[in-house]
This record gives sequence, C-alpha cells and structure tokens, in this order.
Amino acid sequence: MIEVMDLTFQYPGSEGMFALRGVYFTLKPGERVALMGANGSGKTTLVLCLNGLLKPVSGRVVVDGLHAEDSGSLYEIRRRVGMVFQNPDNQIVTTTVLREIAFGLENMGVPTAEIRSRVEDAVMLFGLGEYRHTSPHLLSGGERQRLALASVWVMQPDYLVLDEPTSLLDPRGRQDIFRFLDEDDVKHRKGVLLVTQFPDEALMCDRLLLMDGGTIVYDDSPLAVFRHQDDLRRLGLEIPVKIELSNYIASKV
Amino acid sequence: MQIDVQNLTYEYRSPFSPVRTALSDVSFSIESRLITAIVGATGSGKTTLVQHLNALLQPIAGKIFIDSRDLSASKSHLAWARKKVGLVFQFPEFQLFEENVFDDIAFGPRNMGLTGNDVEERVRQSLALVGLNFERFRSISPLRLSGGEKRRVAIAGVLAMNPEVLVMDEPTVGLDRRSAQMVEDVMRSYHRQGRSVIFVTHDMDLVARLAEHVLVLSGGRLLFQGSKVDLFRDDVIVNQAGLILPHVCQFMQEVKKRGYPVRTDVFTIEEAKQELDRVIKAKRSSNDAEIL
Repeated sequence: MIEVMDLTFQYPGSEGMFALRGVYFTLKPGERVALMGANGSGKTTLVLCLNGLLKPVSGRVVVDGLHAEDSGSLYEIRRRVGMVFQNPDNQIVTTTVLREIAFGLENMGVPTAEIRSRVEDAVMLFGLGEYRHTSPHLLSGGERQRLALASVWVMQPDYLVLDEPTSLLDPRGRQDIFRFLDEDDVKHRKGVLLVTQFPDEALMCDRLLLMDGGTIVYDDSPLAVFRHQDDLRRLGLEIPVKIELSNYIASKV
Repeated sequence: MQIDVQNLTYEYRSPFSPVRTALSDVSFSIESRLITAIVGATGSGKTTLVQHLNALLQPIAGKIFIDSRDLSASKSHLAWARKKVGLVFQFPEFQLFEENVFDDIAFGPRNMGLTGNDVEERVRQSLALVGLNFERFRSISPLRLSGGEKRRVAIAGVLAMNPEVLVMDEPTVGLDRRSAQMVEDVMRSYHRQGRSVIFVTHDMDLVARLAEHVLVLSGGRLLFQGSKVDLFRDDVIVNQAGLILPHVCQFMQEVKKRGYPVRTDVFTIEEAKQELDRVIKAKRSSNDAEIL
C-alpha cells in the first residue's frame, strides 16, 4: 500500500506558496484511482513525491512500509513504484525501441534471456512491433507515449503512477490503455494512480481524487464526485457529457 | 490564402533506421478563411503533414501551393510561406527560451525585421489575444509560468508574426479545462478576424465544437476530406481511421436506440439540450393527445 500522510511541499523560492498542503491518501494493490485538478493544483508535485523524486517539507510517504525519506529505501521504492511522465521525451533515453524497453531491466541486472522475452512481451502488448529497431525520435508523439509506458511496465512495478499517459494518444489508443490495465489487473493486481484531464477516464476508475490549491477536496467514487457539478465547474473541471445530459433529462421528465 | 496539396509523399530516412513512409500521395484543398481539423490515429502522418504547410519539410514527391505559389519553385517562396503560415508545435512551451515573456514573443517579429514600437505593438496584441495582461507578464521569466500560461505565451509568439494561416499541432494537449478553453477561444477569435486556422487534434469534441472542414489521415493516406457533419455520419470512415464520435453524438445515439427520435448530428451540449427539449415536449403533447 502507498500511504501519504499530511504531505506538505513548497518549491524553493516560491515565498509562502505551498504546492501541497496537508495531503492524505492511500493506494492499495488492485485499486485504480484517478487524480484530477486544474493545472497548478498540485497533481504533478504529488506524483513526484510518491517515489521520492521530491522531498516534502513535512509529512510522510510510505510504500509497503518503506519510508521515502529514508535514502536507503529509495531504490526499493522506485522499483515498486513505476512512473510515467506526461511528456514521454522527458524519460526516453536510448536510441532504439528495443533498447529503451530493455534499459531498466539491464540496470536491474536481469539475465539476458529473460530480458529478451520480457521486452518482446512489452513490444507486442503496446503495439510497437513495427518499430523494434526504430529510433524513438522518429516515432509520433503517441507512439513515444506507448514506448514510455512499455518501458515502465516491463519492470513489473507493484504500483503504476501515470501522469496523463494518454494525452497524445488517439481515442482508440486511449481505450487500448484501459484494456491493457484491465488485463494486467487480472494477472498482477497493481495499484494504479492515473492523473488525467479526461472525465471519462475517471469514470473507469474505482476512486476519484480532486485537487485544488494543493489539497485533496474530494476522495470518493467517480459518480459521487461528479454529482458536485457546481463545485467542479468552479474548479474549472469537466463533468462527463453523458452525466451532464442524463442529469438534464432527469430534471425535465 | 488557399492551400492546395497535390500528391504529397514524404519519407523519414535515417542511416540507422528503416525508411518510414509518413505520407503517401496526399491531395486536398483548404479554402481561405476556414477552420479545418486534421485528425487520424497516432502515426497517421498529421504532424508530418502540417510541417509541410510552413515549409519546414519539403515533399519527396508532390507539390504544395499556397495562394497559388508553388513552394518548390524557389527559395523565396519558401521564405514567404514561413511568414504567411505560422506553426505552433506540440508542447510549444518547450521552445520558450528568452529571459522574459516580452523578448520571447518579440523574437519572431524582430526576425522579420520589425523594430521599436512596431515590435511592442505586436507583443501587446498577441498577449491580448491569448488573454494575458501585458504589464503583468512582460518581464516575467517564461520558466516561472504555469503550464497553461507557458502554452499561451508560446502561442502568442507565433501570433505576433501575424500569419494568414495559423496551424496548431495538438494545441490543447496536456492543458486543464480552463486553459484548453482559452486556447480554443484563441483559435475562434483568430478565425473571426478572417484568417485560416488549421488544427491537429485527437479531441473529437473539439472538432465538433470548432471545425467546419475536416481532413482524416490513416496510415499516411488521406481517407476523407469534407464537413464534420458528413464525417460523423460515416461509421465506416470513423472506424477505419480509428476515430470515435464526439461524446455528444454518442449520447444522442444511445438516446435514439432507446426509441426517442432525436437527431444525432448535434455537436455541442447546448444543441443537445435543445434537441432533447424538443423531443421531450413532443412526447408530452403526444401523451396528452392520447389521454384526451
């Protein structure tokens, strides 16, 4: 389980502006949690605290009993918490698709034969079969996004933290990601935190966290959260079209 | 400023990778003053296509005419195209580089040979277009801005060159609702000033609200060009290109399946509510008539 307790964070030089103010939440294996909020609400800052990339001013992040503030635990925490950033170019480092997917496994000292088969599984799962020897910079934005996800997934983390992982994908691609998360669930029961701007993606998650000004203002099932239409509008967020129109019909009939 | 593309073919070639044909025999026309959306699955060639429109890329085969000028005919035509067609890349905020917002936006106009007050006028106008206050933002470092503000400054940098054709590659990607709405409004107002706007997107709801004309790419080929109404009526093309219908259309189709005679070619929430009102009223009066 990932436990976040009273997390507070301030970027250096930001004079009293707290990016995170007393954030509490948990993520259990098998749970799929969506995180939404306007830009600047603290979503990415929170994400970067989850595997120790940022150190909080106060509060704690504990992953399966390991404390993120303990530098000796960081390697193990980062092995368990796989992170995919919003812009795939921020994490792609090698010169071919195969090398990119194999990179993490090589660094973990996995035997070569096993690397080959795990990389092949990832290539097929993420539809990159045509591009095995292609340089990542020749891929489209959406293909690079799939590559970044493949490279993290192949390391079999227990938790997947995905920061807007479908923003560059086409609608089919977005559906495919969810199909893959569903199939993966059956085998591996990962805990998934999905930062998204798409309300229909939130509907496919078990819980929805809404952030505003560095705190979590709602933590509930997506349908329950989407009932607060006025609050959502005030926070600059969208309600799924089908919910808004269904509510409209209900109000007229 | 009509754009005519004829038999455009482009391949990415690199010494250590297999050749990748990004566009194959693509032909289309975009009339002046339209808003056009370019859609298609990832890897279908959208970014490659728009990078030809401002002559960043040159075709391997085929021709591009802007305002009847053949871009391959001379270098001066290329330079002219780059002034007339402004291209905003994906994640344009990664190209912000000056120490303050003013200088970053002024870069383009200065390169065009403008000086002094003319430059300041361009910066003022373009900041106004993207909804950022000139006095407040002019001296701030672009790196200190929020994601949405950075995006708008980057867009302002292109608007400052006053292009006849504004081309945006995935302009709302990664933005929250509020910022995405502002970018959408920028495209709408620029279009209202009589310019052409072309935008690449995966967001079918944005296409529904904003576009008049749509080009659909699939595997580097043009699958469709025409109105959004015709596109969203065509299940075969929508499926083949890996697209989905706008959420409003999907909802109305569901309502229709349940036996209510609603139109499904509605493209905004307001239109949907009006159409639902119409059908609910009609059902009520037919119910009343039955009771009588």
